[in-house]
Amino acid sequence: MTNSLRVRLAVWGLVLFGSVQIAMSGGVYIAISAWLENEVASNLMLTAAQVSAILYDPEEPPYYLDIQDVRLQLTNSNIATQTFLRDQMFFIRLLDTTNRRLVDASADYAIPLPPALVQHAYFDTVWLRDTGQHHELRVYTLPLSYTPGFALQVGVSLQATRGIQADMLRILVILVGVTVVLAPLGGWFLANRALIPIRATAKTAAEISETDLTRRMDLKSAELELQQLVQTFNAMLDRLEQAFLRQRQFTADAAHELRSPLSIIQTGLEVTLSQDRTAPEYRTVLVSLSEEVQRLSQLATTLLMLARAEMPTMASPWAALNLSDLLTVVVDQFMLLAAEKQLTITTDIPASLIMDGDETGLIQVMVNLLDNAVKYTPAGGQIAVMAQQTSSHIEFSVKDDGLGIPIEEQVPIFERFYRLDPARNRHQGGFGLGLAIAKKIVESHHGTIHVVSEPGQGALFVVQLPQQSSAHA
Amino acid sequence: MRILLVEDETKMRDFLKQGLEEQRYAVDTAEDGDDGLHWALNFPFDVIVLDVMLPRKNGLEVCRELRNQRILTPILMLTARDAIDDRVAGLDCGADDYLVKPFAFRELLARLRALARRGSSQKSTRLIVGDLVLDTLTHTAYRADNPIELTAKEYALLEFLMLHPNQVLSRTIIADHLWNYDYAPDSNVVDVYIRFLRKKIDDAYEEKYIRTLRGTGYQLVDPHCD
Repeated sequence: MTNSLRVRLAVWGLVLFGSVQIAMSGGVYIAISAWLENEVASNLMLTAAQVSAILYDPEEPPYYLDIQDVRLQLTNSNIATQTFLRDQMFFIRLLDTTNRRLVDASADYAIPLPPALVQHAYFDTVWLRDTGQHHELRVYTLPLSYTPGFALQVGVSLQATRGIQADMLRILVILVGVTVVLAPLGGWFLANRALIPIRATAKTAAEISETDLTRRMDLKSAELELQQLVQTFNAMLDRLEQAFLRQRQFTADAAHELRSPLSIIQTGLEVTLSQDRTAPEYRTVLVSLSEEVQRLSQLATTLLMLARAEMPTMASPWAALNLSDLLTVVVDQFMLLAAEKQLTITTDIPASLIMDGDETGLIQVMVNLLDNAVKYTPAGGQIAVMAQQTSSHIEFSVKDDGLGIPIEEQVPIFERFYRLDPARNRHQGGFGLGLAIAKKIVESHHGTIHVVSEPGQGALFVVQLPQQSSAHA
Repeated sequence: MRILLVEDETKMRDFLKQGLEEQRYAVDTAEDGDDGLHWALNFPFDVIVLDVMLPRKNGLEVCRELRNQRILTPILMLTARDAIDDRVAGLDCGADDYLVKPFAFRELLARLRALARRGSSQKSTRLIVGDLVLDTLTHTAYRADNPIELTAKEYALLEFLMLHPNQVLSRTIIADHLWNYDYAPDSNVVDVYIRFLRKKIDDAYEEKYIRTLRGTGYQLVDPHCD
């Protein structure tokens, strides 16, 4: 599930929108709460200042505060205060030098008196419980500047403010909740929308692999962002088709190679068994058929060798080896065979060409090249085996002076089951796999193999191998 | 019945030739396409067995060329390739049948019998003319339900006559279809075999199947239909 693009986009949507919503709501709540508190405070200060002005009398200190008169005067003077006074639970009182209440406009509230003589104006918050309800009051205490020792206290209930805050909090919590539910749904929806072309592409891709590999996806109809994907996919199809065709050709060729000896064996057995024969007749047939069985098992070995060469993991492990020694030993092996055909083999191999590689594989390459040279060089011919060290490579080559290879055949001879002369009887030629195997082994060493030849001028097979083993590791 | 076998694989060719000859066919062989074409164009065969993968000229080309030259002899293609395309190509170039290697020899024989019947009015493994019956599976002849033992050549001769009932067959034609090139006999030999055959199927009866048309050849006719 966590691998699903849709789930991931939904989670991302939730995290992103959720955190933005929570941060925004918190900010709004804090800002509005601060503004509300500030509003209360400034209204209290304004009211206190106005009351203080009303009470001012140059003749005598304010021993008395007529609350009705103050209310009236406040009401007349300031509209903001008027609203404030009307809507809020409000109290106002005058304190004398000993902090006695001189005048209390709100006897209901048992507001505690300041503990000491009031020197500076200050705010505080008072909790009242005596009415059976919790009342939070914001109280502003202001010393009267013109009569030392006297102070004015103005207070207002914060119930309304707290109510507004609570409402606001509820609304914001609901908004956050809605966001938390909608954000992942939105993410899911968007992901779905975004995935539609991808899904269409995938569907086409699936159809192509199921039907035929010659089909390609339409690049023009793909969205810009998907074009690269489509291009990559088409390129992959190209390679796949090539590989598939090669594989099919190989299977057909291999089947053909298997069938020839098999059909000889089957027909031979059936014809022979259809009548009674003499012992020498049976013997002749069995000898002839056992040759075919040998050929079959040889083919099986060769095919396995090819499979090994094609799968580097199946090859033997690499080690440091002396290519000069290997080449010399392989050439010695062929000396007798060459002598039988009246061929001479000359060598030009410097001592100690050291490199890293798969020893068995490289011997196989040399054997295959020399085997071809001996097979296709007419009696009396010459074969030259050379090796040398170049700046970056170790190179060895096998040259014969046989019939040569036409230019148009010089690439396909390295294909599996390719025979130079299709008419060449299969008992003369091999299976047409030797050069293909050699090529695979050389390629597994990151080297190259090629042939230089002109018809009638013999053929020169050259193998180049990098000396460094780093490529393998 | 004379068969041309075109196959480049020596052992395969030898085994097939031996097997077919033991089944009383006259067999000529060729080992490449050009050679096969030459034989098919110059000698009368009842069936041509043609391998597809041949040196010089492959089986498909040989087949096409024969059809272009109006040689309508039934052709049975042999091949080691069994992809649909290969089979279609084989049949499209004018071959009558197709057999994939390796095959059972008995199947090859059955298909050859079927191809031999193709140009004839006979449609079963038992060739029937009047009360004369030839079982091509057991190589036994019956006249009025009495079994008649035949030698290989007698069988081949009777089979050829019964595949072409009522047709006048010259000595040369009979010789061409009964013997391969290596054993092609003088046409007098045909008369000898006709005499052998008559002894077995006609001499004991009033009505004769084999008629001699002087100076022309022989004819197998149902005497009850005259």
